[in-house]
Amino acid sequence: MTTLPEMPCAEFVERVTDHLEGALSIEDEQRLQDHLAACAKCAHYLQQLRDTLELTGELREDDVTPEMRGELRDVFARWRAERS
Amino acid sequence: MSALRPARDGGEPDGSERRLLDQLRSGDERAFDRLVSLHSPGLLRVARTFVSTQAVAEEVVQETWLGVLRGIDRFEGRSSLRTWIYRILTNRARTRGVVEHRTVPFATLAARELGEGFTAVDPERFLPADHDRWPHHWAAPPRRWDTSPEAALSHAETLRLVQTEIAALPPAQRAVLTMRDLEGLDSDEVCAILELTAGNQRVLLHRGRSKIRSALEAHLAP
Ligand SMILES: [Zn+2]
Repeated sequence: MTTLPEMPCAEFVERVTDHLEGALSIEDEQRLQDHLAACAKCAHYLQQLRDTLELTGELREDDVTPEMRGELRDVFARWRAERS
Repeated sequence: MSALRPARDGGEPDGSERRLLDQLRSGDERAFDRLVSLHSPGLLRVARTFVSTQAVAEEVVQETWLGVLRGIDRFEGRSSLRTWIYRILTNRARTRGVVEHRTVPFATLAARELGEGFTAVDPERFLPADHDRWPHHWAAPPRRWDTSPEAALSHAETLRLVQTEIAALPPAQRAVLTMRDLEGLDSDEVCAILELTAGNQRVLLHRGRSKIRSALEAHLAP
């Protein structure tokens, strides 16, 4: 078995999204895992990206304003009238 | 959590989707209300990435729902209902953008962004290629974020920063990141809605996410 070329930090930070997306080749995934096991700095970088994703997800607000809801009820009523 | 809320990385189950469609086709207003609650907030945020004002975005969302109702009999379920609704939205938003004279087709925007050079982290922060021991390894590693109560930014301020940074992203990155990381659509859906290849979708997502992380580091660990 040949050893895979090492993945340096500068490459890690560009591959990390493909890693999170499960889009790396088997070899590159192995290189990334090997690097992650050896490099606390990149492990920290990955954690920061995960924190970033979590913060972004918190921006999701699920309210529809009453005005908009009212207007959409009108849209629905118009459609139902068109249909019958 | 409501049973109707889609999983973060998937659509609604087929059975409940079919039931919802039947109810809608029979003119059930409550079914429409549920669908509106489920998708309108996300539709609004995505619309906002295509048009200039919140008011226009709201009109686009209304037009989208009218388009959904008018097209509901033709919907065959080849994509998930959610993907189909978002495709109607992006089509309306595009038409609207043309009227507003601000559109460049999405494919052009995406191509432009993909053609630009990019590094997730300032290359100066890595050791040079000719370093005898650690070429391309961190010289200035990621700085620890202070999220304690004494931190420079409160949690609310941090969220506002993330929001501002997302708004400042180039349009294709903003659209992809909004759909993926705010609305929780999966990559297949985003590719279908925005007509992107899987690879290009990942590149745009990567760039957007990396920029938000950098901004957080700059503010939380100055
Ligand atoms: Zn590293």
